[in-house]
Amino acid sequence: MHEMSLIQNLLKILEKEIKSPEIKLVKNVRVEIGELRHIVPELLKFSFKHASKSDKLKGAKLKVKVLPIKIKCLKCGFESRIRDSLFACKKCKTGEVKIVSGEEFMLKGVEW
Amino acid sequence: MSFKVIKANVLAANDDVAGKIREMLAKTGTYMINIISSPGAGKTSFLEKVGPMLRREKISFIIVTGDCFTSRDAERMDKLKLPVVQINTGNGCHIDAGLIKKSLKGTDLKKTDLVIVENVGNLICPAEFDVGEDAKIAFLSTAEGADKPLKYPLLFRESKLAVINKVDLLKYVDFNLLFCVKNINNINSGLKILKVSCKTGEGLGGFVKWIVSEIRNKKTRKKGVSR
Ligand SMILES: Nc1nc2c(ncn2[C@@H]2O[C@H](COP(=O)(O)OP(=O)(O)OP(=O)(O)O)[C@@H](O)[C@H]2O)c(=O)[nH]1
Ligand SMILES: [Mg+2]
Ligand SMILES: [Zn+2]
Repeated sequence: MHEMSLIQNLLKILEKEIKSPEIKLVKNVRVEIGELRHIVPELLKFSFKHASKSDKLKGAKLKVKVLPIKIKCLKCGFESRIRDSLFACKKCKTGEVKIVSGEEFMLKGVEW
Repeated sequence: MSFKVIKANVLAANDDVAGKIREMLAKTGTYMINIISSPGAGKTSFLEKVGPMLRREKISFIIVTGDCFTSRDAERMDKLKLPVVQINTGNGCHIDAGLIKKSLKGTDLKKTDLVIVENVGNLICPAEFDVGEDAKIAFLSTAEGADKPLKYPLLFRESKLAVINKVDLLKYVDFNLLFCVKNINNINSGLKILKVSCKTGEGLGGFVKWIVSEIRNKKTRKKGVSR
């Protein structure tokens, strides 16, 4: 399962980030995921819950924020939000655009 | 509640290794493609056909093929004496950069023009893991739905080439080729699309032409840098 392998990657980074003794039992782990990544937040939370983790993370909840797909036009600079798989500038219609949001998978922080 | 703000790309470890592979390949002027498709779209059939054609063009290449549990694809290619390295990904649904790095250990890249990665049959995970390739190839077949590009836009955004295989079946299946091509164009207007059949050989020459020119361009760039 896709979400499981992503959680393994997340845990590798996370375990390092919470090493400091100042951090006690972690309550929440915040991540941001781009909509283009085909991640099902519920499956991601499920995978996180059932993955093996250190004691500090045992009771932690994964908080997932999904970021919308946004493109920037390389011709006129206009930024548009994409909802329909048409990766073209909403203003000048060109397909020469770059993605500025929607591909991320970031660990944003922890709370304890 | 106390908190710590972190800003870390979760896939950074993979991306770092991919970056190292990319540097390595830049030094030797070796081109790498990463072929991504649903299960059974015809990747192995494609390589069985294209391998001998590349050999005739005097391109030295190596195929890295990923499979969850078997080595059937590697055996098929080995039968044709195609140089192949098998990766077993076990429960993993994709090949990551670390696996590629390991699998290239025994290869003399200086003498290799092209590394071909046949990724695990799956459209989601492989598109997310950079393995250091020069080009991802989105590989579809007419036996699937023509709406695949709409469902998996990330792959089509990130690819440099789209191949639509099994065009010999067009007369038997309800695959709307125009709709499929239109959607690919909508997602990535610059993406080159090739229509091929591994059964009849149609369109395969177009692929060989494309890859030969990509390899040549990379080697020219390399000369430009080392001068
Ligand atoms: N009619 C027709 N059948 C094809 C064509 N290309 C492949 N096939 C058939 O499609 C089936 C799957 O082909 P493979 O080459 O094993 O596909 P694959 O993408 O390597 O599959 P996995 O590695 O399992 O994901 C085989 O039965 C092939 O003979 C084609 O162009 N036309
Ligand atoms: Mg195969
Ligand atoms: Zn514009």
